[in-house]
Order: sequence, then C-alpha cells, then structure tokens
Amino acid sequence: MSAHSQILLTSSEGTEFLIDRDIADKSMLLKCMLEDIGEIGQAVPLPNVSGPILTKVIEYCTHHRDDPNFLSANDDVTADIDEWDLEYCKVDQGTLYELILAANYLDIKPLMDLTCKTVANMIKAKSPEEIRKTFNITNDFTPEEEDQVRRENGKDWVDEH
Amino acid sequence: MGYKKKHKYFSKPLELPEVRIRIASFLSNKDCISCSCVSRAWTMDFIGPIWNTIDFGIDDSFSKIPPEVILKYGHHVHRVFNILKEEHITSLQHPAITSLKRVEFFVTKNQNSLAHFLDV
Repeated sequence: MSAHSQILLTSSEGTEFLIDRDIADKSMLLKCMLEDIGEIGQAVPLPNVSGPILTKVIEYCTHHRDDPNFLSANDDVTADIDEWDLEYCKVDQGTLYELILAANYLDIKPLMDLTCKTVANMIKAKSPEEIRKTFNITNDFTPEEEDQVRRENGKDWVDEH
Repeated sequence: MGYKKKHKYFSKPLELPEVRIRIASFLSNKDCISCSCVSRAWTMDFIGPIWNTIDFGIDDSFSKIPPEVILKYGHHVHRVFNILKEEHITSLQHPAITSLKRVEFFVTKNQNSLAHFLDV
C-alpha cells in the first residue's frame, strides 16, 4: 500500500471528495473498512454526511494530520480547548449538531470530544430552565419530580466544589 | 447548513444517550445535577458521573443517604475511596450497589473492617 494513496468519498448529495489515505485513517470507521476490504477503487458513500459538513470534517483531520497525540488529544477533561480548535467550533448550533453526528458516525474520537466539550461549555453554570431554552428541550417533569431529582442527586451529600 | 431538512434522528444529537454521556464527562457534578433536572431522558445520562465515585475522604455523608435513594442510583457507583469507618462499609452493603470496580481503604489497624468487607 502506497503511503500516498488516495480515497474517494461521496457525501449525501453525491459530491465526491478525494482525500489522502492518512486523512481518511483519522476516521476509525473508514480505517477499519479500508483495512478489511482494501482499496476497492470505488467511491465510499457517506449517506449521513452532507458536503459542507464533510468539508469541515476533512478540514479538522487535515489540520491534525501530523498530531502524534491525535487519539489522546482531549483525554484531559479539564484541559482548555486549543486556539485553532476553539475557532473551528465557532459555528451555528445546527452545524455543531451535524459535526457531532458526523464525528459519531465516522468514529473520530477527538472530533467527538471537541464538539461535545463545546456543548458542555454551553451548559456550564446554567440552570435547568436555561439549558432547556438553549437546546430547545421539553420539560416532561412535574415540578415535584424535578425537585426530587435535584434533592436526591445533589443537595445533601454531593461535593459541589 | 440544512440540518432542518434532515430526518429528525439526524438533527438532534442531544437525543442520543452516547452523546449525552460524553458531554456529561466534561461537566462538574454541579452542572451534571442541573442537566439531570432537564428532562426524564437527560436524568439517566447525567447522573452517572455524580454517583460514579464515592470518596469518603472528601465527604462521608454517603452513609447517610436513605436506602430508597441508593436503590434508585446505587448501580451507578463504580469507585469507592477512603473507606475508614464501619458505617461506610455498611452503607455499601446495599443490594443496588452492583457495579463496583475499584475499592480503596484508608489503611487502619482495624482488621475487622477488612473481614467485614469480604461479605459485601
């Protein structure tokens, strides 16, 4: 297998993307698939990923192409997001959602961690009602039930520091 | 980016438990408690980190939690640190605490504590 081999991907709209094999290998889904079946010389269809999102994903994988700590990059849950990654995630909520789904589907752990960390930062220090508003979630608790969840999981014994 | 045009399943990653669990791993206990109050579905995925680790060295009020509360959430307890008193061991002998992976004692001279724990 040549180090310079390339892979053809097809987005949900049918747009073709020619990328280097080492970029494709950042996705565990593509890496395992290419290892199992070899390079078949045909485009790999990605029906769950749109062209604009696939472009963003390829941008991320290309930026981190030679990153030796790629797979452990976000393991430190308390570490701040680096500057490039922070800029990368400055997108509207719909795009962020699509990036999470693409990272999940393509199995790119560092991108999944980065995008989920971005959502976590949007949650920090918010009340349940503010979180519902931010993410458009319906409250299906009665006030009593919500209070019970809060009481059982927090008030009396959890160390909040 | 057209996410609204897509199938509902693909437009809402926060409906996926695996995504919520990943997000929870980046939040403090305080923020996880807020998330657990958001909706029924969210509760199940955000209480994990709250109950995951019990450290009696930081807070020993775990042994005072009512048994009916432990019955609900005890299976989320995976790690227990700094077991020091007999009441700590007693509180862990609840049938709902089924998923312990790591248990560390604060070493004392009291051999009875250890013998007692073997029955857990």
